[in-house]
Amino acid sequence: MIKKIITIIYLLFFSLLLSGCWDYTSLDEITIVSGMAIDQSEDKKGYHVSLEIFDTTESNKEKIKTAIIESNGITLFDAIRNAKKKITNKLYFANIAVIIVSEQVAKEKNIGEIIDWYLRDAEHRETLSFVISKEKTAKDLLNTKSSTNNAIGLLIKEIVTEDQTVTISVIHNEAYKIYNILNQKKESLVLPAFRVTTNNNEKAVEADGLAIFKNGKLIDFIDDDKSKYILFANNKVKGGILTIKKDNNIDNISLEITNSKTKTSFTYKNNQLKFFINIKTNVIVGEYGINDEIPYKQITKLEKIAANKLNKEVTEIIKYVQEKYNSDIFGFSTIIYRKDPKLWKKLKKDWDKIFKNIEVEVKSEVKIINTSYIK
Amino acid sequence: MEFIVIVIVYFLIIFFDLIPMFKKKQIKEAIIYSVIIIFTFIIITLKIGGINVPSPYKLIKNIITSIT
Amino acid sequence: MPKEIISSRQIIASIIAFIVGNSVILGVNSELAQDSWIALIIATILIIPLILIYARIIKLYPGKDFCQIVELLLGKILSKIIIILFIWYAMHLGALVLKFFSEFTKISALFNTPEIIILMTMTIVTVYLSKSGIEVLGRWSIIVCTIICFLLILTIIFSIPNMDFNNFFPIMNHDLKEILKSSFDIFSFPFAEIVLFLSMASSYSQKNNPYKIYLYGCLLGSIFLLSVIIRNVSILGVPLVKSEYFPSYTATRLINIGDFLTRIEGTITINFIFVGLTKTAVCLIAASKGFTFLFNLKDYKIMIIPISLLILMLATIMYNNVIEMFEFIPIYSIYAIPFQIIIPIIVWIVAEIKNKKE
Repeated sequence: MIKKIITIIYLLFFSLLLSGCWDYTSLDEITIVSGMAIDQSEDKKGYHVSLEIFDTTESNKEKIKTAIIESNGITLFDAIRNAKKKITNKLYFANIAVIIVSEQVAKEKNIGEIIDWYLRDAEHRETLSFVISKEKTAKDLLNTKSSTNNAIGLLIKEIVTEDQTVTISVIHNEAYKIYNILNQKKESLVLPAFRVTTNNNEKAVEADGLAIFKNGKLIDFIDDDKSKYILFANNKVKGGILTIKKDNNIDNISLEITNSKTKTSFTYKNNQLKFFINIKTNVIVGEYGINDEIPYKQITKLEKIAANKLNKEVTEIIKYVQEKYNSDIFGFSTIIYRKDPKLWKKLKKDWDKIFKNIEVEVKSEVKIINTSYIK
Repeated sequence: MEFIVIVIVYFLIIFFDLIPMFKKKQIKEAIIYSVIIIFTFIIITLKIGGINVPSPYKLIKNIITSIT
Repeated sequence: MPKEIISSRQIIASIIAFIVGNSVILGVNSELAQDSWIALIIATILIIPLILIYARIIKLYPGKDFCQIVELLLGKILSKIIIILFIWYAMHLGALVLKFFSEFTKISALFNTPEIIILMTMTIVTVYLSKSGIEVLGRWSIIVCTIICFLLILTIIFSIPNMDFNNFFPIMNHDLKEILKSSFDIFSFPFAEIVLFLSMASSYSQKNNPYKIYLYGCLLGSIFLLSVIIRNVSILGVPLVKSEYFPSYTATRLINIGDFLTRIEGTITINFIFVGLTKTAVCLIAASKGFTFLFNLKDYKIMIIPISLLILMLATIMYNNVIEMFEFIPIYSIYAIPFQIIIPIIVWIVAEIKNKKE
């Protein structure tokens, strides 16, 4: 009899032990964070963090409601923990989609610090997107409304992820890729920049070009219309639109890119580095500007115009970045390191001077594969 | 809290394994068993209680680093 | 003690599970990052002569355990000393594996649970597995091996969009000395730990060819590890794979197929629980068999629970934090030399001499 009782205690005890309930947290004990904005605190010494959380109190089936929690702290982790002073449940970061960093913080503090905190926590997923806010504070981005998605964090993430195939205006770098770029030779980071615009009398976020970094600190922004060509130089184009003009003053022909491949190689002769960028793009004519059939001869002419435009713009933007920012956002240093590590060792010390003087030759080839539905 | 768990586990082990061994007159096995049980119980309890038990790791590390 | 027989396929499966053991989460020694596959291939070449020696020992004395072979060759007193060392090695390895898995669980999932509870739950299941005997272990290994191969192939296929083979350049950027040191590390952890399988040698049926078994087991395990390295380095890139504690786990976290197949790292942890159990169970059985020989007991199964408690105790006191545990890995390769290389070679030489005499 005693043996039976003890066996039952034994079984009960082990079922308790083996089911992992010590760490059990139910859904009503956590606050799910969808986006986070990092600003400088008012006393300029610490961080001011704004978290966008899913408001689970209003259980409305149609719309997801979000709320914003603000908090201050000396370090980043400190600021986040301090948020608990305002809310009932602990924050749950496993679903966070985006971290928005304000221009101020990105200029003064090294992005590496934020990445370090982020990657250390086990709950955080490495596929997070980072964006820079062009507005005065990063929180401004979270305070906007959207007609498609109530959670601004998720919205920004969707905009940035789909961008390579649709609008080619930003480069999407996930958290783990940022870590690699910051630690990899002298390549510089580039992140998407966002701003607030009015949309139908309401404030909305919009992707607006790229933010250029050097040594982990933000230096400047590059506008929307030029950022496309940086993507071309970095082999990050998977779709998007290229506009060209034939006889007009303004662009009126749209070429839809189906795929594009950029090959970068270099030569080192007489102490001069020369990089060759070879762009091969396949496009479809999406818009011809005038209501007319496109004659066959025009096709080759259009291809030439597009190729020349690409050449010109890409060369210009690389030169611009070289001279104005001296920041290797094109990955030239990594390419040299991978192909010829001994050469890289030699050039490493003077890379700042060398980068300014790199000659770049761009050769592009545009092929129109069809003209869509009509001739 | 963890101490209670440890005590329960040890108790179950003793009840289910050690007592029958004594009953079956397997004296030699029972003695070795008991010695190990007591030894590990003391050390695990000490460790849970927070007392710093010296670990053989430091010893091994010193020996190896002094050789290489 | 009733005779337990396991088939050669089961032994091969358990060897593979043993070798793959920690790499499911840890990745293979990532010091060299992009050159770690070179170190792995060199380590595989280095292990072949050693496992041929192990197989030869079994072939010379079929149907006998390592402990009995040692006693036959070296006499009562010397063999007892050697077996004590052997038991210590098995227990230490078991404690290492146990501690490693509990640290991983604690860091990534159950941070509030006290570590002793996690250790204890794994120990309880391992004890159950070991007490069920070597036959059950053999059948279990086949299931484990199938599941881990399946999951590995799955993660590699799903990770293809994330792979960037440029991460492997520049090749051979490290000098030969570093590569050789890293190969030696991989050689002793995980390959040469197969020495523990010698203690179960009485269960290999007579018609099995031990050479074939060990060679297949090691080569297949090596191919497995190579795929893990290729997947990890190509997805994570060089700086990340060096600084991550658990590169394989992070690599699986990045899998994202059509926004639908994400967060599958939870499924991958099934992998590591299985192999963790298998590896600890083998260490436990090896240590228990040694103990029964030491004290002339009849059945090794009685000693399983106390040995498991000793391993549990070792696991709790060994390291104060994760950093010490990872620091130990380069030292381990040197510390394990006597157990993995010297003792088996001595046994083998004496066996050959005695064999020649007859």
